[in-house]
Amino acid sequence: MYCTVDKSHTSGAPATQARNAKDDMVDDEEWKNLGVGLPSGVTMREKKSGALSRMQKLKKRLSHSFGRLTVSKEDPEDHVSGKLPYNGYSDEFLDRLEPNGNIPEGKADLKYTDWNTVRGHNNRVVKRQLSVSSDSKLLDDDIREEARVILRPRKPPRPKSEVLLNNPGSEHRRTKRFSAFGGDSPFGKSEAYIKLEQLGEGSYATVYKGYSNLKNQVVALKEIRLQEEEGAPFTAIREASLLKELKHANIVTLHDIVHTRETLTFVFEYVVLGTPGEEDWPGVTTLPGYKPHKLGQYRPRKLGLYWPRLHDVVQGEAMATALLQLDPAHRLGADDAMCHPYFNGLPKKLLELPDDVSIFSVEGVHLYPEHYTAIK
Amino acid sequence: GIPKVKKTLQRSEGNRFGIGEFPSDRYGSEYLEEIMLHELTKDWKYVSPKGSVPYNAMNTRAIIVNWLIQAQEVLNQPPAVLFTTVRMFDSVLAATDVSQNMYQLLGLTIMWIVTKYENNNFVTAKKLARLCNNVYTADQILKLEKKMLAFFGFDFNVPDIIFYVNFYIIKLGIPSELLHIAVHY
Repeated sequence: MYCTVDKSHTSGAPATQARNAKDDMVDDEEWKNLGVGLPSGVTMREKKSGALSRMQKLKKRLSHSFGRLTVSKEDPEDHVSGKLPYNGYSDEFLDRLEPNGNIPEGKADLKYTDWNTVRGHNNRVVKRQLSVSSDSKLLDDDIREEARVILRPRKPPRPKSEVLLNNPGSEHRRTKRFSAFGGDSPFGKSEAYIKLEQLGEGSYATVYKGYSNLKNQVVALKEIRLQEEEGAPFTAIREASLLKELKHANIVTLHDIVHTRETLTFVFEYVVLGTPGEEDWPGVTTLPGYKPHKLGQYRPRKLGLYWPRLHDVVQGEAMATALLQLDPAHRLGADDAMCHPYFNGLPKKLLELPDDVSIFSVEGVHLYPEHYTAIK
Repeated sequence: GIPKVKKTLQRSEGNRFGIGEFPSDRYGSEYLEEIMLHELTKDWKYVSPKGSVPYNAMNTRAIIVNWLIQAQEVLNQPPAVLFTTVRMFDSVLAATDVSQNMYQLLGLTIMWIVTKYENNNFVTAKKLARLCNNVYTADQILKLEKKMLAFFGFDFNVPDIIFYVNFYIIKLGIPSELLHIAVHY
């Protein structure tokens, strides 16, 4: 959206940028292909192939492990490893499961045993892997088989009948399932990005300069530390949710999200406005949080070089630069901003409005959708 | 401890009808109609077409939805959280095979994420597990959360049905607080 003044009242020029996300929901081809992409029904169905086979492999794998573990009485090594992790609470665990029901009475015994066995087995796998590698490596090819088991640790095998019942619709369903968990998309994996130097540190995240092997370009990696109990921080969920909708040249683009055990990393478009120093912000080096060794030294450049579109707007670059001054003393305040030549096209009446009166009460001021197509 | 819980309960009391501090801002906003239009553009997000939820899952689904209604009350969440949760829950059921003994965990986890997205009044995974009588562990909830975040691509921006209702009440021009409450009952 942008706000213009009706031509009939003054010589209209594009003015304030009260932007609304609605018109900027540009269908980004890239995101569609990501697998992490916008999950509209259509997109999900587009991404076909291979999920049922994957599921079947998983089932096969599960049944293999059952097989191995159920005959484990004769196999000392498996017996030990299978039994230890759930030794302490298996009975209790059975009791706890009861309230959920959902498992046919007759088969309950068999299943609970299996389930527990698998669970114990998995715990072992998880532990071993964590000691060997970071979480991201769970998706490496050589251990992918094991990762599959880990992905659904507590799920007991489905009854045969259920599998059969699902078969008629399987063609339809498999495709969706494949895309649902990202499929084989290269995105969303930490291997795709190389972390370079640190750019800055905030209260809940650290930003690194990074390099994307997928797109061969420099990106900014915002690494959010995860709290044990909290799961994904609510700030991160909101940030990602909103940024997913905001695809606009003037808003930094969220390329990808990498979620590992310890961290959540947002991959952003890389934009550097310059590192604050004594020459453009006197006194900054004496501020308590100023740690020059943690910041790269970047020369400030004109904003128009990063956002060429600013040149399309009369006084656009000047206005943006004035608002984004590093030194608070030189930064343009709201009152002064209203008098900036950027707003020259607006009727003078706007400046005299009381604070609590809407600008739309001035005759001729309307909101128009801005038809914006290209993402830079 | 206990005092902390009480505080959370009190703070969210006004949110019960979706007309708490934050949402009320938008009703008074001069952009109300713009917001409404925008909400309408994502109206069908995550809505599963009729019949897409497996037939044999319907019974369990009903039990879980019933349970989620209670959970919403216990967690003191606005109705929007419940509606969004059920909507997203269905879209998971429609898209993947979920074993029936995972339904409760799935519903709970989705509700947790939606809660975190919608307001500042949410509990930790451990507390959540305790609310379920420790049938599930916090670790399970966290693991499933991770999968759900990937499944939905971190996109939890779903229109709030209560917002539609309140919008039309405002458009009716009857300025009565009672009407809001009446509608929700």
